[in-house]
Amino acid sequence: MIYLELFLTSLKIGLFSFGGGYAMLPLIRTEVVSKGWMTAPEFIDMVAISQMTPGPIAINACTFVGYKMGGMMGSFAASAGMILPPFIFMSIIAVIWMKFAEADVVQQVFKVLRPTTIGLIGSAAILIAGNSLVNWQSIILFLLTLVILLRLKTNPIWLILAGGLVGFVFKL
Amino acid sequence: MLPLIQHEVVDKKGWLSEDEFLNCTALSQSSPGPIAVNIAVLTGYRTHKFWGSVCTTLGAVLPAIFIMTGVAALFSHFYGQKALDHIFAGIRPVVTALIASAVIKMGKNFRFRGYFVGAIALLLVVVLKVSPIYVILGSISIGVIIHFIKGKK
Repeated sequence: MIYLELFLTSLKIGLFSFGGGYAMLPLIRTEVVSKGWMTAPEFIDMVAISQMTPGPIAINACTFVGYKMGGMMGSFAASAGMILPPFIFMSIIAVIWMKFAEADVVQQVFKVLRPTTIGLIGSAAILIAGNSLVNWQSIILFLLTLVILLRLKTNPIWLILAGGLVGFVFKL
Repeated sequence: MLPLIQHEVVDKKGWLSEDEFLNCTALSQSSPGPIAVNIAVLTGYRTHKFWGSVCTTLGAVLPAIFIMTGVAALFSHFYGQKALDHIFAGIRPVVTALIASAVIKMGKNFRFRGYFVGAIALLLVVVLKVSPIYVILGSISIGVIIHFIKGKK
């Protein structure tokens, strides 16, 4: 059943992604592309839409995948799966409160987990680049955006809109 | 989203003190799941226990779910049209740059060991096609093992 599958898939993503936001993208990508729910370019488009729509990016992405695969109920099933593990986990944390984050073992785990997460986001960037940097125009657009992002404080939404405008005007 | 959450929860409602909010944020970043959901659960629980956290969580995600369902419905209707194809061809390099810039910014303060670990994770996924979930589980296990080896000394 597609609803159950959507629920379990986002449950898995919600359970194993640490760091929120972009840190969840590599997991979402692996799951939805390998299951054939989305093509690789579709995944990038979905990230753009999730980024532009208000709300947590991971919730947006799950809702989107859910809708695509199972309509309205699909989007509820997928979001529910994404929310349940953090809800249970954080409730437990809330009860035992700060002891968790201060524990030596947690500190040590994060010394390894933090660079791992960033490496994973890097892997998503590289895999995505394979589908998005397809000609010299797109490579120039990529480099230009990267420079703007690293040098100036710009809201990503404006850059996404600008990219769309450039694509439309120059028929990329 | 964090500055917005801080403004509402700390400055306006006074549900958490400044310090508590910072602790909440740190905890939320080191727990699985979307950070906004994690903070919502903690804040709700601090003020009104279980039902408080149910309310804050629903409040944090319901608008996103409804808006996104609408957006997805619209999108599925228009996807595949020529004009939209061009627009997304322009958006894709921008999204790639967004993710790449996040990696560069977050990796800036690393030392050699951090780059080493990050590079291994990246290569495992890109070259060997290992699922990110196994990479995360592996790095948690390594962290735990290092902790106990250090503890023995």
